[in-house]
Amino acid sequence: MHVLEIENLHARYGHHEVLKGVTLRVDRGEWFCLLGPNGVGKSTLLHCIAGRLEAASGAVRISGESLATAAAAAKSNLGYAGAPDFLPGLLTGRQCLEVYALAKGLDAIDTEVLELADALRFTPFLDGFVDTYSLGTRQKLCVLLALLGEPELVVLDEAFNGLDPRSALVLKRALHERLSAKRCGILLATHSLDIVEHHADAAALLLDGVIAERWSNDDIERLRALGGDALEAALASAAASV
Amino acid sequence: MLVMVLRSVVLRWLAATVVALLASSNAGVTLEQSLTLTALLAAGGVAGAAIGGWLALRSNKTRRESSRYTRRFKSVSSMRPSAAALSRWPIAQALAWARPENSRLLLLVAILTVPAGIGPIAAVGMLASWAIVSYLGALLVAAPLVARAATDWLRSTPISFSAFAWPFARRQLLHQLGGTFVGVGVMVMAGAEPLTATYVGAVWLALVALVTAISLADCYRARSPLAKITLSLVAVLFAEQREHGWGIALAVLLTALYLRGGRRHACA
Repeated sequence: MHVLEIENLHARYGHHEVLKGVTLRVDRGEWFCLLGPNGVGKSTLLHCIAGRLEAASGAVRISGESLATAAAAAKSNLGYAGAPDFLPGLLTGRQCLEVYALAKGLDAIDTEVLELADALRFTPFLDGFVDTYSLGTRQKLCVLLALLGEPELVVLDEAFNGLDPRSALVLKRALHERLSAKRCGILLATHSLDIVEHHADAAALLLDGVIAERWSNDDIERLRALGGDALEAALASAAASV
Repeated sequence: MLVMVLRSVVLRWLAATVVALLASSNAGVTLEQSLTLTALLAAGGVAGAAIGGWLALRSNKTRRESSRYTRRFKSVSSMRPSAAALSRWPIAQALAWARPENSRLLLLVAILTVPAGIGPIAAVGMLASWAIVSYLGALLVAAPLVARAATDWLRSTPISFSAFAWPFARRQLLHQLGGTFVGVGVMVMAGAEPLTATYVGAVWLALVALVTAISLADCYRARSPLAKITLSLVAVLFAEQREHGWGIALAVLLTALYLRGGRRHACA
């Protein structure tokens, strides 16, 4: 089952069209990586999925619910970790979790999320104000907020950027645990080919507002089997051919 | 640390003793009075050092880095979904703006407005009025800015307008109400007619309600509230100038309409 379906999505900032007909799907249990150079529209696409930017045309469905016509139902299945800049600097990490849990309509804060906070060594920062956090600590908070309430679609925007290697490993394992139990699907916008190489089930290259190339699980497995810089070479070749 | 504290206390006590002894050489002060003063200073120093040291050691145990600009809120032992922090956010923003580097300028302006020759109580009353007005003003300005930041942050969640708006507005409106009551009281004590002071307070509260409602409704719908706030304030003040009470009535009507518009919007 698809946890995310995007069909012919167009989005613009003023007169500048950033997304020019994007179509993609993410299945439950799938780790989907969205690649692309800076400024091609990766974050814009994620903003459209999160409802932060209204699409000019096209459709976004989260777990079958249309973001345009049933926004509340669609968003209740979404966990979105955007840029840490949007976190409220004048609240503490604990307050952020409490408010976000209320906004998601939860009765309690998931024990699993609190355990992950502990594993990420975020707990000592819970009562510190967000504006005193480092980039990595903010990223951890973003991810914890995204995982609240057992979302079926987890959308991560450069979520591993700024994380120390240990925390990145803890997070990757936690995400894999959710994926292997088919509890969610993950869409990750990233520049890190290491994550694609070792963790992704599918990937796509976004260039100039369109999906320029796609790699299925079989394609990625084939590139992995080739070893060396096969994946990087494939990406470079895809980018050059557009 | 203990050595540093003790050294500081002893040095201060010695300085005070020298001053006391010098004072005793004055014809008007007896040696007994000087010694009493020295003993009291020593006792105060020891007690102060003990309390200060205890507080410093105590805060070291629980110290975590906090914001430079806002006071820390009391943390709860168990975490549960709550909108309490949402209602504190605008207040935290207003307090953040009141950081010393901004407040000192305001204080300077306030001091310059105090006329020469008035009594100390009147002067302090004037400075207090400045403090109240600046806080209420900062809180009003914080409403649209923080509403924008909060809705941007919560945009990807299914939070409803009422679940967002009431917790967000509740505490700041209470502060506005309390501050306005105090302000009206100060105006009356300063010689204003009670009716006039109450009228000014009512106009202020109507404007606060209007600005807050527009901020909440428009930010929830991902629109900028600034043009609407400007036009509404101009309309309300114009109506109020034409006839006392009309502006207040218009503000109440617009507040209700904007809140209704926000509530009808399905999801942020």
